[in-house]
Amino acid sequence: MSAADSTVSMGAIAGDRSRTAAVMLIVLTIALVLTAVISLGVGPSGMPLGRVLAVLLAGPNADHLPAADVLIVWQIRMPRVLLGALIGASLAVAGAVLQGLFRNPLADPGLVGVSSGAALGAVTVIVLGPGVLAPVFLLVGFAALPIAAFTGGLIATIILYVIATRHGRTSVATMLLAGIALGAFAGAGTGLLIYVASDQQLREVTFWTLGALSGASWMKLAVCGPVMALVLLAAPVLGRGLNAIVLGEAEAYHLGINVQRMKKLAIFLVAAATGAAVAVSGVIGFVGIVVPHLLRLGMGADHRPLLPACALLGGILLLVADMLARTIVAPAELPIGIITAALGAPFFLWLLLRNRSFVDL
Amino acid sequence: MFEAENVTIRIGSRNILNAVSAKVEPGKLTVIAGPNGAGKSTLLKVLTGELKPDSGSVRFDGTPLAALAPHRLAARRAVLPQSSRLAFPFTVLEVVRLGLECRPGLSPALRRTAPLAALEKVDLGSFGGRHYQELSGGEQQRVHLARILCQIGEPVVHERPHYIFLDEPTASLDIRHQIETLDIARRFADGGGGVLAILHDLNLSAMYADHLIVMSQGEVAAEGTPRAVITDELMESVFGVRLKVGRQPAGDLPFVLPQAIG
Ligand SMILES: Nc1ncnc2c1ncn2[C@@H]1O[C@H](COP(=O)(O)OP(=O)(O)O)[C@@H](O)[C@H]1O
Ligand SMILES: [Mg+2]
Repeated sequence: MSAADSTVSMGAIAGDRSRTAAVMLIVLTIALVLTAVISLGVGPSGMPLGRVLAVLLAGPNADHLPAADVLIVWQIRMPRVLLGALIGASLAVAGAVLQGLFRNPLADPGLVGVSSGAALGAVTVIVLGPGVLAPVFLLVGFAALPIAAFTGGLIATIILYVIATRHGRTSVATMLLAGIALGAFAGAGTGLLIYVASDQQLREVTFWTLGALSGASWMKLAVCGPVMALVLLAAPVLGRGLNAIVLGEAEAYHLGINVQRMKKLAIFLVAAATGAAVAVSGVIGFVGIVVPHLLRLGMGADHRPLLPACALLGGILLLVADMLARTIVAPAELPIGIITAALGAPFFLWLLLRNRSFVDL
Repeated sequence: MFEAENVTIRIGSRNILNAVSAKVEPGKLTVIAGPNGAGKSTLLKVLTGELKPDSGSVRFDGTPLAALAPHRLAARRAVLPQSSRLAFPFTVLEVVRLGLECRPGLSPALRRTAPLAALEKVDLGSFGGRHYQELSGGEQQRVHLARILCQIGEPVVHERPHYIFLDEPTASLDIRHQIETLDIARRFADGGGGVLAILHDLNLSAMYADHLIVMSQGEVAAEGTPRAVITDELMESVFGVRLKVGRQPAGDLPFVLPQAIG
């Protein structure tokens, strides 16, 4: 690559990519809205865009339009689309934050065991909820599942960080290997629970481990939506700290960042985002690694615009994957986790091929 | 003024620093020299607050470092690390701009021009758009020098001196950029700021240091003006080489030549 090729001079100042980033944020916002509207029309009973818009504009209580259309758009597809966008956004942002924290573009909640930890938490509640854990269940009600998923994700993230980071330096090899071990351990726990589960519970558990949006409802949106929304709003606070920590923890401290506090907040946000996403949709992989990486190629690595851009593109990607999931084997539907893995895994391999130095163990 | 008093750092059963005292004063260029593993970087880390001493105290203008919030400290002192790798594709300009993270009060105009001026200072004026990862080691080191110049601004602001700490700033630089880098440090000290630099080259140390601290095995072996410190005895006892120290006719500055080994 020649010097001219690698020169970045989009803005008035050479090397300043903030204008490119601003343009991308606007484009992504428009694209997300468009994708969401299109998703509302896709499904077993397809609906032309015009009708979707008419139903949308008429509101959820319109009585001059076919009741079936209103029901499909407002009660079935709307919560699903909103949840899908929020989940995609949360997973992508969780990925970007985790990568910033570990200073490594390979960290991903799905890859390093955080999602498995969250899933173990969720499955524990599903299987033991009616029995051993019944008193707890009564106490916190339907929030038990998200809380358990969050706790599982938090424990996994903390273990991972403690093991992989020494003297402010993170070993990629240790991180990935620890992630494999954590994932396997959580998987063993989940397997054990499956062993004692009833048939009904088994179906629910399978749904969790494959990842699916089919259970979306306004109820689930009401429980997990606010958590994800809060995480997405809070994440930009981390932008400054994540930028500084790119140089190393000591350097971030020299730059004036309270590193310990920032790390705690980052770990908490990753666990909250992953936990909430896993609680409603199960384990959906690769969004957290593909989205931040694509965006860094386009707009650079400044976390301040990167985190909101991840939220937008993550939402778009998950909505597109969900549309595929609903149409490929229509009228049945595929678990969305299968789609993201089928698309994400080859991308991930391509990533490794393209830049082997990412993993200089 | 940064002041370490009787600082000890213990790792395992070994004292990496053993009751070391050192000062970084405004208006002075203080140099630490010494063999590999003598504890130079460790002392610098203690003085910057990166490492907490096992015993002894470190103060900045009388306040214990531990009591100072990172952003307050960062407004008064910047640190050039010995080496730094980036995991993500930042441009040179973006890396230099990281220096502005702790200066929220800066005007938008300065925010735009300060990184460019800093890049000019380290002779990388046309490098802003390059990717940091594609630069040579020496160029990367100068990018970080520009970054800390951006962070620290002027040597004195509102009559309060600022400080820069440089861990082997000349390690991978060619001779011209070694001199230019130390000239920047010299001007910073002449402007009223405080500088602490770890240097390996005794001749450069002799040229630039107002105060030279020579470390050996976790202790201060000698300190004072280069003239007083760099002697035949020191070369043998600290560096383990029998080497006759020369004296420049003009100014009596000491110099050492490897050829003079005997
Ligand atoms: N984190 C650490 N763990 C163990 N030993 C260390 C650590 N940091 C430094 N040391 C040891 O302390 C000694 C002094 O290190 P340092 O201050 O980096 O030396 P230098 O004078 O070359 O900068 C060396 O022997 C080094 O091996
Ligand atoms: Mg050193």
